Amino acid sequence: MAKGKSGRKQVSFDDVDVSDLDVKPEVNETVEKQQAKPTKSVVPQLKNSSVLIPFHNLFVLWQMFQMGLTEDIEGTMTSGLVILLPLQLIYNYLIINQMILSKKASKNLNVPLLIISSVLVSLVLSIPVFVIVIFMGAPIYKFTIKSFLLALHLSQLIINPIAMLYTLDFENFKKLFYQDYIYREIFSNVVLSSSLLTVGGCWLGVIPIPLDWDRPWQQWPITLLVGGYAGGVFGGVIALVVRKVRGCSEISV
Amino acid sequence: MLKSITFRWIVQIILTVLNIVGLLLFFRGFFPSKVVLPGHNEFSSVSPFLNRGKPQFSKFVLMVVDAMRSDFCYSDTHSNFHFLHELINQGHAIPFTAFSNPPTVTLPRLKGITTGGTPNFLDAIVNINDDKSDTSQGLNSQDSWVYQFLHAGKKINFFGDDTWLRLFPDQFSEVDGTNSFFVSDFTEVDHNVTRHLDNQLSGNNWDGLILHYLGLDHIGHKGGPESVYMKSKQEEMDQVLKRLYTYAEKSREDIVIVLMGDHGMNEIGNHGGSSIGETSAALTFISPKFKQPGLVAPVSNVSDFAYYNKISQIDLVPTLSTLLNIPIPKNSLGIIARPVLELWPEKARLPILLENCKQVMDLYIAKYDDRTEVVEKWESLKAESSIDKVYEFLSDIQGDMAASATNYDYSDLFSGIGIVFGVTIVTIIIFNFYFLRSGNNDARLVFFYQMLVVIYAIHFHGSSLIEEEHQLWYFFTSVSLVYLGFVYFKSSNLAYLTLIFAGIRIIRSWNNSGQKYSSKYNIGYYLLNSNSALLWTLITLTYFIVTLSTYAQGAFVNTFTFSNTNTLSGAQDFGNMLTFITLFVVASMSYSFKLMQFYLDGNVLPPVARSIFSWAVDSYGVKLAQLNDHDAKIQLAEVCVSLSRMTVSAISFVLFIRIIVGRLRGIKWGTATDVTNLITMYLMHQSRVENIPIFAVLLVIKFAWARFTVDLLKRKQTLNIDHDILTITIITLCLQNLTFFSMGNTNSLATVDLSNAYNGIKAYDIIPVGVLTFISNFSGPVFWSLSSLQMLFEPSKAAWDIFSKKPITKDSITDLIFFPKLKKMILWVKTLTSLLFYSVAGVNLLGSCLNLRFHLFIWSVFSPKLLYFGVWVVLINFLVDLVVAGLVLLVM
Repeated sequence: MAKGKSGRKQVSFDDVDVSDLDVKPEVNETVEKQQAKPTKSVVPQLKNSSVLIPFHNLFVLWQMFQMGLTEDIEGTMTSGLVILLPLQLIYNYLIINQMILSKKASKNLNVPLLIISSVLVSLVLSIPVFVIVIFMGAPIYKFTIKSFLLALHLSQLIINPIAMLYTLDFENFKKLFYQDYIYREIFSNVVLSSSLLTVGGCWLGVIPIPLDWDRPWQQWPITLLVGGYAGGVFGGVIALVVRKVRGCSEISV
Repeated sequence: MLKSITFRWIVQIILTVLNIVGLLLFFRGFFPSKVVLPGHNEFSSVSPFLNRGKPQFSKFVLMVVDAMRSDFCYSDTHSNFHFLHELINQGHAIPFTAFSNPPTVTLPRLKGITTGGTPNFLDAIVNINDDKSDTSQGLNSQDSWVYQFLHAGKKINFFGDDTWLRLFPDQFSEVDGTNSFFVSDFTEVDHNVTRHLDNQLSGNNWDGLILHYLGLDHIGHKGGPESVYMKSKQEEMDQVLKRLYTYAEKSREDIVIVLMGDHGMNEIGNHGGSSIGETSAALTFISPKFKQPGLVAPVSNVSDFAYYNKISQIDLVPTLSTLLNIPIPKNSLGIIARPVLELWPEKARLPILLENCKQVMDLYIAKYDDRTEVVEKWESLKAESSIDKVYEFLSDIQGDMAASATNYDYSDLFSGIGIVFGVTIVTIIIFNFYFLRSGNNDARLVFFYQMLVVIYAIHFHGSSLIEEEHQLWYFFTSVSLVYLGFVYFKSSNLAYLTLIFAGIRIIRSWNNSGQKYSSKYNIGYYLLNSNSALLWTLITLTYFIVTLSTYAQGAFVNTFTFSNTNTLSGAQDFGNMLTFITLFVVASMSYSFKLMQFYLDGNVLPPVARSIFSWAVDSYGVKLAQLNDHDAKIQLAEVCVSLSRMTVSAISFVLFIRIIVGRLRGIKWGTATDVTNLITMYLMHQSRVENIPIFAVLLVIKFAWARFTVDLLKRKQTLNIDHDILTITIITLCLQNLTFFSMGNTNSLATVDLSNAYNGIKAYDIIPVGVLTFISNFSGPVFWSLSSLQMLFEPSKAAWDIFSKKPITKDSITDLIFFPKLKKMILWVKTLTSLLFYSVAGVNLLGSCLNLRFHLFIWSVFSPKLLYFGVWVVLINFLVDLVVAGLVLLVM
């Protein structure tokens, strides 16, 4: 974005004659920030992506509706979580199985420990997720438990796969944000894409709540849960399509 | 030429004005005055209402209990009207649930109850018009049963709500009006009415007696329908009814008693909207003459408030007319209530009904000139018919006419929407041309903004989205903040971003907004009702913070200092000390005004505030201990008026001196901040007490936002002003609306807050009351509007960068105030950006109103929104954002 021709502090209105200003450039020091140009992708690469589309999301969602999500929200969400956790363990195993790791890295990896700790870390990180969810407008007081359950579900769906993908190395994850083509990176990785769209789906899921249809499924936080779960699957599919379109050509290691 | 700033401004002003003109033109077509037939009705031959040559009743008592919902009278859980239940069981009372046409506020309802017409939507606004001396609303020239009854040589006495006296000036023989000046007063208002009963029921100087009790409405406003005072108030009303009934029983003449509510209330005790609770009022005809067997009272509670027969409230008009043997008022759309008709012998009923039908058809024909189909049907009905058929026919006509109570003026509607559409297209072109032409601007941001505008505009097409608009704004605000956070993310500004988020989350839960959810679990309710000690601690803190920022943030010190010190520690300087003292005196005046207002509203002061209160009261020479409650309130109210006036004049005086001296001493940096801070103090003065601490949160948000901005500007090489303006405008729009709804406002007329509309005013005067109503309801938007200038021109001041000196190198400049020649251009880009929002939103709202003009919710949802939007466009976008901002820039 730094398109400034020189390094001076420049006041630019797009089309105002600069002579109109009473600002005269005084200092002329050029400080070009060196962009770290990564030569290769900072995202861990995956082999067969179609396996990693989180189809188990749909199963958990279906199960929760079967158990009567609209009647007993808190109870059902708790049992939903109980169903989700073992499935996430399996999903984690699939992720680690599909990851392209260097020999040295795979030797040092304690796979069972990683899988379990990833789920546990996500459970703990549900507290910051809860805070974020509240900042985004989730109701508390009478809805605290429901909102917290939502945070638990979301942290399993969002944080857990990412933690697995980066083998719990969140420093490495941060590098993603300094990428030039962050969205290209995200959408050609099934795990990242499905995590991102879980967030997006959950966010958009809030929309039907204020409508005056007065249906039982409009209760907090059912639509967000559906949005999040469905968004995850949708994100996985999108990543698959993006990879197909790009012919996996750029994913060479 | 095209690039010259003067030309741009001319185009901009033309567009802004045209936008307003289009909107007002649409208003003229949308809210036309109602067709009202002049003159008064007369019987064409002999009255069909007579029973054996005699009117059914020669006298009446109308007892209106404000906001009496149907369940207060009939339900087994909510009603304490035991005597009424007894009467219903005996058959001496005929109960109804009466649909009261929205807007459910007293003045339009009384018009409906007396003339039988459906209300003109604009009546709701005129309801604010709350003064006895204003008789523009008088119904003397319109036909009503009051006129007809008086015309028959009878006398009516009136006691109660003085709205009646505005409607019927000089019509009643004996009057005593009470006004609802003290909403907190539950007993005095009603005692004022009941105390006349002794006199009235012993003498014989009336034929009609109207009583209008306000206490129940006050209880509703204060504590909701479940209030602890509700049952005892119903009991009190029941006792009044018992006295009236005993009187009617003993009297030699036939007296009919009508007990009714003018409207209902919703689940939190407010009214004005169109929810089922607000439109379901109780209505009962009572007389020893009635013998209606078969009804049982009380009945079990039902959720839709439909007890017994449902009729329309205006049906009272023809029913009462027939009972009293007077002609049915000309503009009535009512139908005689069927159970009442059974008082007449079988063969007399049809002529009565046909008389009712004839009157309605006269109105129908006058309104539609010619609609042969209906008229033919009417002709055939006259020839031969049954009661059933006439009822069916009448209710069809009633529905038809009530639905089209107003005739739209289509040429105005289409030209209005056409103008706004033109403005929108031109604005979109100019906006995109300006921002995208050079390619220097981040196109993503430009599209992001326009996407927000379009999504916002689309929401106007759904009625529930309009009702829950506050949700939309929280969504927009969080999306915008996340977007900006993502684009400009650096770990250094994460803390400020979090602070902004925390702030908006707190103000979001301060009040109820919208129609769907209302709960008592919000901060404002808690502070006001459960923890007034904390409330007053927070208010004190807020006043302190605002006063301190006024003194320290801007350029007050630089302006008034005698020596050349620039530091705050120069308090030994006489000028500084004087400024400091003056500001604190101003703040304390406003503060004690708020204390007295709080006390007058019937709240109990917490111990912390009591000493300050008694000091303030003492210093005005009011001896609270020696006065009775009523006198004390009257005296305090006067003190309040003068305190408020003094505060306003002191703030304007300080503002004036600050600007003059600042200009003389050539101080520019800090003027916008000082103006904003002083006006913030006035906005707090105009806010409800429980909303005052919101301003402390707003200041924190502003501080965090300013830090974020300064941080960003310092880091960047190029200060791209276009970007700066665009982001600031986006955040301003979001925060303006969010704060507006967080202060408890909605898009319904029920929440227009009048509690601060009479600050410093003794008698009603449309202009000051209008101005104060606007300020007290739109204090949030006005605050952010002014703050956006501060954010643009001197963010370092808003960021409390008080030690910042005027930068020496241009490198470190973050405040655009140092480029004075750019002022005009900056304001132009800002107004262009906000005009884009208002014009795109406007054309969608107008389109939606036009499209849905026959929709069920057009009067309850879309029309109020239209009025609110008018206020946003004319008073916020034009007056504050353009005129006031221009003036501030002028003195800067």
